[in-house]
Parts: sequence; C-alpha cells; structure tokens
Amino acid sequence: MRNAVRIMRLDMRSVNTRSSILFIYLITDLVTVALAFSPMQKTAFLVGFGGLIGGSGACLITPFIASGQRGLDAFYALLPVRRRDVVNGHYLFAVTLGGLLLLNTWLIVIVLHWLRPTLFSADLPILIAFALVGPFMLLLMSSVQYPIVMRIGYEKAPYLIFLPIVAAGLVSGYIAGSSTDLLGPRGVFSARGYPLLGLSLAGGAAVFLVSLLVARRLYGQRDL
Amino acid sequence: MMVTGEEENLIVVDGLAKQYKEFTLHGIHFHLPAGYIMGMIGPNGAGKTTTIKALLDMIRPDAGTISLLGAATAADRIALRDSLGVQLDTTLYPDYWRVKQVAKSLRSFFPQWDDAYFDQLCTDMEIPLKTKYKSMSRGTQVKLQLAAALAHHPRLLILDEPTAGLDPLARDELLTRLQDFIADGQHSVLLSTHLTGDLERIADFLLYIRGGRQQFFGHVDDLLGQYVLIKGGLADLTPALRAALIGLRTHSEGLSGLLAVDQTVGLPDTLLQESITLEELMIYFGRGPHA
Repeated sequence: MRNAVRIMRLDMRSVNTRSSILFIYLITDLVTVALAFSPMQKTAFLVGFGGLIGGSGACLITPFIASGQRGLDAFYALLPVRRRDVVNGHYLFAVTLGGLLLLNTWLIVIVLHWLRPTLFSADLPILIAFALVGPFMLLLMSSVQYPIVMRIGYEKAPYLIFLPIVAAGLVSGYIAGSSTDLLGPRGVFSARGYPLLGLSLAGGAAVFLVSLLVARRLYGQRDL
Repeated sequence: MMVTGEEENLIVVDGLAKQYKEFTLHGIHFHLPAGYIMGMIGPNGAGKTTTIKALLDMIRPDAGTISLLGAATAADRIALRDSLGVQLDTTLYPDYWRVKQVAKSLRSFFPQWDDAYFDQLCTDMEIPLKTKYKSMSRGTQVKLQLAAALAHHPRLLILDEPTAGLDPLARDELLTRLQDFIADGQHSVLLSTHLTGDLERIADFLLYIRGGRQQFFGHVDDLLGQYVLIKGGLADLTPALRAALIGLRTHSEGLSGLLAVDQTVGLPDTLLQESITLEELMIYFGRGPHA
C-alpha cells in the first residue's frame, strides 16, 4: 500500500496535476458562485457541477498523457515497485481525485448556501448527497479508461480514452435536464430512491474493483 | 584483469530470446562479474536496448533466464532495484521537473538515496538546478539521469548510450567516474554505446550483437585478437580470400577486409595484416556476413 501511495504522489507530480486540479476547481467555483447571482440561480450549481466533473475527468488521464509523451512507464519500471503497485497507485490517484471532487462540490454547496440561504432551502441535503454522483462518475470513467491505457498506452488510443469523458458529459446533461425527476421528491435522492442509490454505488464499486484487477493483469503483461 | 570461477556474477543471461513482428532477439548469453565493465555494441536495431529492457523486466522474454544481482525472478529483481542504477536512452522525467523534483520523487523509493551525494554529482556534472527537464540539452538530461542512477549507491549500473550528447570533456569525466565506480571490485557497469573508442578505453568485456544475434561475448582483447585487418592489391583477391574476408571493400587501389587470425596462415606477403580497433570491427562486420 505504501508503494501505491508513492506512485499516486508521482502521478500528482508527473504533470503538475495537483496545481492543475486546484486551478480548475478554483475557476469553476468562482464561475459557479458568479452564476448563482445571475438569473440562472439554482441551475448554476448544476453547470458548475458538470464543469467540475469534466475538469476532473481531464485530470484523470493526465498522468497517462505524460506517460505517452515522456516515457514515464519506463521511469516507473526503474523504481523498486511491482507493476501491480503502479496500477494500484494509478487507481488510488483516481480515488484521490474523486475525493477532492467531492470535497470541492460540498464546498460549493455550502458556500452558495451561506451566500444565498434561499437558493437551495430544503434541497440542501439532497444536493449534499447528489455531490456523490461526481466521484461516482469519475471512478466509472477511470474504470473504463485505465485498463485500456494500461494495456496499449495513451498514445495509441487517445480518442478511445476520451470516450468515457464524452459519455460522462452526456449523462451529466441528461441529469441536469431531468433534475426535477431525479432530484425531486420522487427521484433517487429520496427515501423511495435510496435502494436504487445503494445498488448503484455497490455496482459502481464492483465495476471499479473488477477494472483494477483487469488493469493489473493487462499491465503485468505489457512490454514497456 | 583476469576472471576466475570464484568471482560473483552480477549479471548472468542465458539463452535470452524475444520475438517481435519485425525483429527477433536470438539466444543472447553473457555474464558480468563484479568489478568489471562490460560494453554492449552493435548497429542501430541490433537488439541492445531490447536486451537492456529484458534485464530491467520492462519486457517479458520468450525464452531464456536472467539473473541480476543474484535474483532470478522478476519479483526478486524488482525488490533489488535499490542496488541497481539505470540510465536509459530516452527522456525519462516529466517535462517541467527540475533537479529538486527528481530528488524529491526518487528519495522516497530508494532507502539508500543520498541527497548530499546527489547534490555533489549535480554540481560536479554542472547540471543546472533551475532549468526544467524539457529545456535541458540531451547531454544534460543524460547527466541528470546518471546522477539519479548513482545517488542511491547502487552495486550495478546499467547505462544505455550514456555518452550520447556529452561533450568530450564530460565524456572523459564520465568514463573516469565509471572506472572509479568499479575500482573496489564489488561494483560493475554494463553500458551500451556506439562510441567504440570509449569502450576500448574502459571495457573489460564486450557483447557484440548484430541483427538480433550475438556475434561475440568475451574479453575485449580476445575479440580484437581474433581478427586482423587485411589490405592489399586486387590481384591478391583469390576466390578463397573473397569468401573468407568479412566486410570486403574493394576500390581502385586495392582491397581491405577483416580476416580471422586462424585463417591468415599461408597468405601472400603482398597482403598487409594490421591489428584492428573496435570501430573497424563494427564497420567491417556491418558490411558483410560473419564468416
């Protein structure tokens, strides 16, 4: 586990992801707050939320872009870590990004609620729960992207790797468009929808785990 | 230096083979005892880097065995990475890293990492501390990799084209450093290079690969002692000599080519026999089939 954490930190350092993600979050947060004072009001949150997922999704793949361009796989191969540790580290990087996304989304919700208490009113707990959708989608994206990139590398399939981000954008758009049904009293973030929510989270976790195992196997067989 | 059977081999490769779509490495075998420098030479695409990648478990060989620092399995070899310093013939670090980031990133992975030594190496090699990796010259990038490879006090160095991009002075300093590295008889260096002059100066052993096939492994003097450079007039070029000469070159004034020493018996006196250099060996072998 210690080696996985070290690799995760290398991923963060590899393309200055730490600064990039903080910059993306800061800009998105400021835009979201500004939009909340525009006629968009409540919808501003969903716009900002989509921006955060898109930005995080882009950061998710940056270590592999760097790897394709600069031979970071060779760099990792020279370290005293097993290949499975490298894969674990990349997935831990995705989990860390998901955590940062969740924290930042909660920060936006809380700041908007503090600035404009009437904006969300009774929907605040729902939005707090809805923030989980961000890391959920991010981890699903990584579950699709990472095994591909572990096997063939970013440079051989750049467009294939960005497909999950496009899919995430479409899903985000659908959710935003159907927010009343999804977020309202009859939606998944209601007592009636909790089993569905739980099932989705469990399914997502299973997909992530299977993806991790597949990626370990694929990366273990790959010629670097 | 003489090698005895009692000496510890830091590298033992036996029957290493790897097949790609357009290239095959065939049955490479060699060993490197502690206290020696081994050079790996061959034209571009000969299989030198493939051999190094196999040693580093970056590729999975189709056949053969590798023992590195006594470790015979990939897992054991990876566990011993702290005793191995590597420089590769590729850009290795992220673009915007500076010397500080390299040290910060590697320090946590290598228990024997020595910050003071790394700083000293960077100073000695005149590596600019504030320059981003991508802005460094190729030679400086190589120097930074070398400093990082040495900074955790490895027992074995594996270097792929370490002198590429270095100016003559830096190259000279590197070769001296490598000689110092093995001076205690416990350390070894495997280096791949096109600059045969460097190898003639420091290498004890030589592995010569061409077209994925091992042509020679042994002591440098043994290899150079196996062949002579033949020069003479075209009138001396008999069919038998034509068949025996390696890399035969004919021109208006005569001929030249390599000949195995044991085939020089009975040659006419009109043919000159000269000792060869590694560079001549590579050139002539590159021209024609190995007899």
